[in-house]
Amino acid sequence: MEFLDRILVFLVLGGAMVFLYRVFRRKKDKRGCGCGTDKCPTRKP
Amino acid sequence: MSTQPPLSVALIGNPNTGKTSLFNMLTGLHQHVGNYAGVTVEKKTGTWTLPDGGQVNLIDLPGTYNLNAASLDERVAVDVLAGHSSDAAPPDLVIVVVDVENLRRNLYLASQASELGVPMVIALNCWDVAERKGLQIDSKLLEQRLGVPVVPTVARTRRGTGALAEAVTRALETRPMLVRPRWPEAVTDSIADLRRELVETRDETLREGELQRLLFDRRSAVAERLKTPAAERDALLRAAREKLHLGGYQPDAAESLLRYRFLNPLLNDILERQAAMKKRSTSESIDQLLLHRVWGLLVFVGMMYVVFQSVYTWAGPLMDIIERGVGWLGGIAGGALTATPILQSLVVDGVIGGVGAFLVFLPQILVLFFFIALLEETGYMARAAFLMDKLFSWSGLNGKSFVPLLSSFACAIPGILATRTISDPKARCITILIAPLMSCSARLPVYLLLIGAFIEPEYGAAVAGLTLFAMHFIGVLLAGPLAWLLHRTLPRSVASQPFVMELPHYRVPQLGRIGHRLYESGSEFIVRAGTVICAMTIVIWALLYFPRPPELAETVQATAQVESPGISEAELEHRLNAAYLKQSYMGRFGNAVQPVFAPAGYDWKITVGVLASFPAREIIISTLGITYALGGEIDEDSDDLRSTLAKARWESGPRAGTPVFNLPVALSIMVFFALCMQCGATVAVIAKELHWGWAIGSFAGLTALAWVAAVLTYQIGMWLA
Amino acid sequence: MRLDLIKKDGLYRVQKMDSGNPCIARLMTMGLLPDQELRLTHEAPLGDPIAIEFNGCQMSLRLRDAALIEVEPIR
Repeated sequence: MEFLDRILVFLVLGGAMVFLYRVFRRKKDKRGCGCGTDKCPTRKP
Repeated sequence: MSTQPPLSVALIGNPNTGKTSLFNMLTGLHQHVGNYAGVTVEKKTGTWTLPDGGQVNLIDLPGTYNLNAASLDERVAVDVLAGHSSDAAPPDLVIVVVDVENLRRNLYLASQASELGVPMVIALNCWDVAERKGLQIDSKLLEQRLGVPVVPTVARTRRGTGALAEAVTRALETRPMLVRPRWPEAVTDSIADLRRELVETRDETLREGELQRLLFDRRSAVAERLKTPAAERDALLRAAREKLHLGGYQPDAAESLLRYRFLNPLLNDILERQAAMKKRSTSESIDQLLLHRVWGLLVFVGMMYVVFQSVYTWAGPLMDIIERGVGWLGGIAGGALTATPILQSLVVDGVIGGVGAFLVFLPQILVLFFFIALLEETGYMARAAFLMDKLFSWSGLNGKSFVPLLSSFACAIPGILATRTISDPKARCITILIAPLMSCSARLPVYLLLIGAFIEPEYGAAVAGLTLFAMHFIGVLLAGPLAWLLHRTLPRSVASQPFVMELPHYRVPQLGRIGHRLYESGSEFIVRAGTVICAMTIVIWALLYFPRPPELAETVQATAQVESPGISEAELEHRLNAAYLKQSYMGRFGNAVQPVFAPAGYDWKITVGVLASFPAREIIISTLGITYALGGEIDEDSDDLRSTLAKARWESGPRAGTPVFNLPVALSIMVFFALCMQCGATVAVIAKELHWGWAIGSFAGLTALAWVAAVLTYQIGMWLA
Repeated sequence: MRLDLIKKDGLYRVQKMDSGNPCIARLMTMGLLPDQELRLTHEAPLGDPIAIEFNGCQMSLRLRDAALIEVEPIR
């Protein structure tokens, strides 16, 4: 049970970090003004 | 039709003509519409299905009074209409949206646009208002005179959109052109010179209308598009303007004089009835009060007072419901996850405690946005700018800075992007640098939390509202001197921007549109809470939870046995949690940095909150939520963060046992957040718009300013108390 | 008489204006031309800026720019 606990927490934490990385990295279509909202429709300045 | 590329139709018109409403009506796409001049900066497109089933691509061009391409949005309009825009096909037709009440001025823009050689349809908008005011315009006669279809429309009620669609369908076939003035010889000669030199000799692609722009406008943005070297180009333009001058026309005034001289005979008898209207319009009568030297200011202050106070008085019940919902959810999740204690802490203390603490402020934010939307939709915002202009002008800022600075109160990023309408580079730079001082909506939860915890219970909603207003004002107060300083130190650029602002007629706000704006800002808030804030919260939870060395439990137990033998189970647990928290990664970091913030009265937990908030300032809410939840300080009778903060006590040091949060500390935190640039996105945008040096400089400068102001607030507050 | 010195609510007619000033040039494109009639409708609390009405629209401008417009009273 303790092992499962650790794995789940690790997965959630990893997921959160991957998500943040995807939001804040430079996107190819230059969308996302940098406000942090995913799929931000505003063009990158 | 399906094999051909879709036809494209551009919408152009003065600000405040309902152009954007018409665009929304035709395409079904929604966007922000305000009564404030220059609100549509971006180019927007949508698909419009005509009655015959054909689809056209509709382009919403920025609202502009003329095509004298001085600022970026006017240049966008010229480029799109002339077919030189890289991201829009040259339009097959342009719909000029004309406000019936300002026919003459609106047709000036139509006349300028017609020179670019695009077929045209005119939409006479706000027809209902005109009818109500007894303004009768013979649209058939106008149509005959102008040579293009003229369709009366009412964008808000869809009236006339069918007729407009029919007119556009026909016009796409017949390609009607607006009558153009016959220019005197001096103009045609100068244009011919320019055409010979630029188009024939230097192989530039320029339409007649663009040549006119180059001739008539002193600093035309069209010139920037040319391949011809700047020095050569400027010499040519100077020569052409000189020729115009010798021909008897002052180049800067020539176009206005000649074009109105051409338009007036076409419109004079049509407008005769307009002149018979009563001398004072309703808007002007309202303004007798709202722009009055004394009453106007009092109403402005009173209105702000009501707005900020209602944030506290209206939102309470809804907040209670959300709070109870979050508590209930936490209980359920906690019960379900007892088998996996770490995950339980992540979900209950981290996600639910952190994001929940943030979500509670949704009702208050909606109340504030409701009032802002109301003031914008009625047209009061332009009046507010009129009343406040003098406060800004001494620091070298001009009217054009108002729109960006005002939108910075929602978020600095669109505000900074909106500075592109400012053609004076120095004024633009200053506006960008002070924009982060405007209190953006991300600061709102911080104020709401602290005011709700320490000011409202003690001093009531009135003082709470006043404090909230003061927090919004403190940035403005410091922005003035800062702008002045920058104005004096930065090198001078070209002549300052003109401040000419229309005071549009008051309008009855449309509840539907306000509702839509509330929905948009509300869902944005929730989406942000569910995505970025949630992810950051999880990371911060981990930093506050780990590491958890098992030997710590033994040490705490051992010392507790020695110090206080009869210790209860609950008290022991509490001590253990506090010990874990203190030696977590974030806890160690906070303890190390705390001396820096000690003069401002912060303990290490607040320090952790402040440091965690540098990427995005609203993170402090969830960070404090997690910190106190992990520390085991949230118990049954303080299920919300506000009462938990009120109970927090110093653990050690000279003030051990006394409350961490007193009034000076709360104010000091708010002042810090009001001034500090805790927003990674804004730093990045400043770097993009200006330079990395400016971004780093403004980040460091504002952080230092915030620290000094926070320390001063705390020290003065303690001295008074 | 300069536009920055006129009285409220009186009717005035534009005599001449300095079109080289960008602010004035902008007003001209909006229809404020010589011979145009106008009224001073509002003054901001500190007397600056002012709002004038012509052709049914209200525009606000600063005194510094208004000083560049010469008007004559009609009545």
